Amino acid sequence: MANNHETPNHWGYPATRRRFLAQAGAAGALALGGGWIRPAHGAQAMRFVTSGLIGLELDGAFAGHLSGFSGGIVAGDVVVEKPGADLVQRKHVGNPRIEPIIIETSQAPTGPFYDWIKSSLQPQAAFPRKSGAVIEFDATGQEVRRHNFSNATIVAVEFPSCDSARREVSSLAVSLAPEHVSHTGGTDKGGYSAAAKSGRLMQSAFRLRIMGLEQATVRASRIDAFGVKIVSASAGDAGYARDYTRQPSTVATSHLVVTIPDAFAAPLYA
Amino acid sequence: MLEYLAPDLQTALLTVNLFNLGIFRISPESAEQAGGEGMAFSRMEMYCESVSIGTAMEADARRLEPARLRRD
Repeated sequence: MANNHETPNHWGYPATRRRFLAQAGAAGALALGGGWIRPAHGAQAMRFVTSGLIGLELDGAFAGHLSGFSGGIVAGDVVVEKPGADLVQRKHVGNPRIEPIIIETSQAPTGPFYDWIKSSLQPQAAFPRKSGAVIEFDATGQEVRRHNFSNATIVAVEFPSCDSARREVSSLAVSLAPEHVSHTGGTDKGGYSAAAKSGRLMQSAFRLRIMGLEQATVRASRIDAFGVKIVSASAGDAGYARDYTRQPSTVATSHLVVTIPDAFAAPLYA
Repeated sequence: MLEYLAPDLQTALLTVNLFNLGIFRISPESAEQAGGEGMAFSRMEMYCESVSIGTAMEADARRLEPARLRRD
């Protein structure tokens, strides 16, 4: 009966890269070499919160400061049925799914957040799941909104680009695939933890060392953003569609693109 | 290994260990593209099999010599 599927943006709105990644993850596809998590400039605006303060909570404890987040939306594909005698296309919503939560931080991850990223990047039979929340605070540090997630795995990590000529802050992006999400108002569980701030990532502060090429790579002037994507057949599935027996099957790393002054590039050809 | 450094340019805030790199393309890049003035740049593209985050000591256990592209 249901013989045609459309995405919610079938009215002509451009699909975001994030939506593309969610779809690619669901299909188990690998998109190597391109952008990983973050949308290209000019793409449809994601719901990034840039005012106030944002924090990450993992397993009930404050785990770090965020510079933005998006996703965590429950959505379903619109299923269009074959028109009947009245020529009207009947529609209904297909299986619900949870869009990945993408969090960005301009500070080096520490504590449980660092441990979670580290253990997720290591090839293993079962990847760690964590529950927590992205919390929005007002200017006084009081919690105003809470986006809870449970049993999430890290499905992608994008390391920030580097550029010795730029003085801007850079940010690390992490994509989470939760099993369940809920959005609530602020609670009085705890306030903003200013003391938990760690070092800020800057585009111009980096050092690249590759064994045998040190003389060239330490002079690198730019490194493009690169990342790791953890792919499983169930990536993107959630709720009813989630298969508890599936685990990530591929840890795919994107290419590394480095720009080096020609004056120091000779070791590349040695 | 790629280190994201603190403003003192000495302390590593985050270390990304890169394993089994291989250069597959080197191409010239104009000064405008590279953001430099009057300098020529090379753009080196490498595949990478896996990464980890952690200390340099942890990386030593897994580090291998990178494959290289030969000019001839």
